[in-house]
Amino acid sequence: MSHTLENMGNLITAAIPVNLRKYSEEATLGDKIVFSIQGSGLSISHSGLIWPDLTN
Amino acid sequence: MILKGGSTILGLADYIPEQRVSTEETMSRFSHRYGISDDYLKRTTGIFEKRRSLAGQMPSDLAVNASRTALAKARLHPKDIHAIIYCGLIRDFEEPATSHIVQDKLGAKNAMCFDVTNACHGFANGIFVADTLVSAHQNIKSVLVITGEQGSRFEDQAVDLLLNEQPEKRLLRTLTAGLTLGDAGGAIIIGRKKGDTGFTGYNVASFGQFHSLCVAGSPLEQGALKTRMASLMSEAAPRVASMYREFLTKRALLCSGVTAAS
Repeated sequence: MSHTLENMGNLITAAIPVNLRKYSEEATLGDKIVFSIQGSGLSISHSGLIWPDLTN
Repeated sequence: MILKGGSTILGLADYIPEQRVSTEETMSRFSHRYGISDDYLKRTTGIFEKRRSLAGQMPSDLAVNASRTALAKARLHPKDIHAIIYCGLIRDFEEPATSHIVQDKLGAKNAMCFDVTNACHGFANGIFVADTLVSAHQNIKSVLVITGEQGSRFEDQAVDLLLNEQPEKRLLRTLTAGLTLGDAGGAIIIGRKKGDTGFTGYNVASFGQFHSLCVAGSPLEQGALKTRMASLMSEAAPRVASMYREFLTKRALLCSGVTAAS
């Protein structure tokens, strides 16, 4: 789910870090997420992430 | 192809420019020429507002602002970074690679620098490359993957063409994607995986037979972003769905409790 499309538009490559940063506000350790990306060319990928401890 | 992940996120940040521009404001500049309402873009895409960089801000500035926050959150010094990968579609210059400019602005003297470009998909490629670097080389402990997008440059080009070319609906259709783009910077610091958290894997594929469906930078098109959106979506959507199913099946770790983001 994008958190940013309506109020920031298509952020091109910044969509991944901006949406993950937004998601970090509600994330808990161990959350399983998949981000789905497509780009002109055409390239498509899915990346799996188990949310890490970012509190350091 | 499905690849195994060997890395995790050490730090994460974004930089969102403060200036807001409503899509209705943008559309009002040319809507009368095409017989459409000012809320056309908002109604068809859901986008009501975008952010715009300050005058004089370069893509590297957006990336540096995000990077400084990410480094602080990860409690890392710029000299702790061993590689910088800039992944933006928009770059400061064609040469040098923008990653070098970011390195200089951050003072990340121990980093090797290069750019990865693959349209909207570039940041995902940057993460795969960073994952490979930290997994394969003991002396590479942290990689800064960054971007600084200024989609507003494509919006400006599109508006200029829509104001000055013959007002045909076909022109509006091919330029609409450029009107949806906004500005932002982002940074993710990638390090070697510890324990069970971090990147579990990737499913990656390319379909070059569709390279002509979305093109930016062609001198024949005044450099503007031109997209055959209906064709692009009809080719991409079923492939995205089948790859997603394949990924969840083969990377069984992710089969339950998944939140999808795109």
